[in-house]
Amino acid sequence: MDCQNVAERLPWLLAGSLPPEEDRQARAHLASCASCAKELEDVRLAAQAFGAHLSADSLVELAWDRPLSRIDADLAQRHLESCASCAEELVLIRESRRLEAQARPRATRAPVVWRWGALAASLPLAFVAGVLWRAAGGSGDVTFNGADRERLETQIADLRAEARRAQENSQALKQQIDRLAGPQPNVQVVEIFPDSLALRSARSSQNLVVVEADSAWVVLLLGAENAPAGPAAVEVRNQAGEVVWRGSGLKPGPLGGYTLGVPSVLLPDGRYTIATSRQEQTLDRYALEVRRKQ
Amino acid sequence: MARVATTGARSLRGVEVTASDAELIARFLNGDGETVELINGWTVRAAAPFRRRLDSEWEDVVQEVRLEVVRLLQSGQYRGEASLRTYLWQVTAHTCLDALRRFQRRPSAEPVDLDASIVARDPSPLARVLDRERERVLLAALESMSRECRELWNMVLSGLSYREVSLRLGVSEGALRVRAHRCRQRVVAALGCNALSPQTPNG
Repeated sequence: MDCQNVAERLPWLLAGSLPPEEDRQARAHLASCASCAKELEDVRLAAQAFGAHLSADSLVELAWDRPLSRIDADLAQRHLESCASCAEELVLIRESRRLEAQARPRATRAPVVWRWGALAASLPLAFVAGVLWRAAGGSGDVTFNGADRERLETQIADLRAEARRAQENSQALKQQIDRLAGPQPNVQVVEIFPDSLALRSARSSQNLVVVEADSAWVVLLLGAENAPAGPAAVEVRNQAGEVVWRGSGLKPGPLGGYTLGVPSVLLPDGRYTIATSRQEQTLDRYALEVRRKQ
Repeated sequence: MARVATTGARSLRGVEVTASDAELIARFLNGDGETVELINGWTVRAAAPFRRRLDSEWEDVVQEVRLEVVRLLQSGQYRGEASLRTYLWQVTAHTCLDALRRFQRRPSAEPVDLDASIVARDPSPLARVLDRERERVLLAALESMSRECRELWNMVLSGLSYREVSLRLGVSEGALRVRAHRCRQRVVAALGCNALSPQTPNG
């Protein structure tokens, strides 16, 4: 193997993916050729540049909103926009920071769901107080006939039932918040492909997504035929054509395609279309049929 | 003098609120059970977002974090720029991220080790500059590369053989090797330019 052949194969030698015989010949050549050994140093530098990512130090500084000590903030931002893996790592570290903020000792103020629950529970009492005040007409004497008493008792019973439902809803909401605040085991991951790819559409025009009964989130892996280098916008519509959710900043992963975490409450049973776009040009369309597992 | 808590989560919170960070460190290094439990609780919570991604390695990484925390506190690395909890939280996030990068086998900046005998012995001036400003110089050079070059090298660093890369890109193996060579020349030239134009991070 001569110098040119060796030089052209150096990236794969360094990555360990040369066929064994070529690997052996290239190493033998390098052991006796100072020029190619020098060339190898350039290849190593190139590999470092093409495999460069934000350092863990910089990501931690970004997550804690500290000034960057190693690089320019604009350069870091531009890298984050083009590197899905660094962006994902920053999300993880920011989530860790959020947990730190949650772990700080709290004032005695009750969580928001309990404050709303208490407010709901106080409504019947406020209503009764208002009725009593109006009936008294400022005189201080309150008298009810039989029909009034029955009507008021019915209203109070209705309001108590409403307050009970509000309390139950607030508890369910609190449970949901608690579930979202921590790690979620068994998150459903569903791989779907665009209509334009015959891989699935040969069997069915709809990607069937069966949502587990206890699944708070569904992660959609959107195989993309036309993923651009930059971030894309995404729109989810139901079968009536109404927009269920719209967002932007969908970044392609290293192998193309996107991930989209969707709260399962956003997708009741039915048919949906998801469309990705960039600069108002549609990239891919996905057809979904969502069913809850019984 | 800080109040020393006795039992349970409530009292642990008492330690957290009333004891100074220096006292916490002293108690932790002396093996005080409640303080160890408190700090271990912080590391577990700080590492929680990485659990799904680290999968079966998560427990080992948390153990790695604990050892790192002991090492840092014993060697007096904590200088009080942030609260002890924030510092340990950042150490945990840092260690988990390092582990994640190790386990993901992402395209690496330091691919396979070669026999020392075939690697140039004296680092070039460019390599010496890189040691000082590595992150800035590398990222700026990467940013200046075309999408084609980045994709091609990403595949190489992912471990795809040149045959696999040529099939994916639809070019002949010879043309692919020449293209990789040109991309390499461009990025090394960009590294040289970036290394000669130092910048001050502005945060």
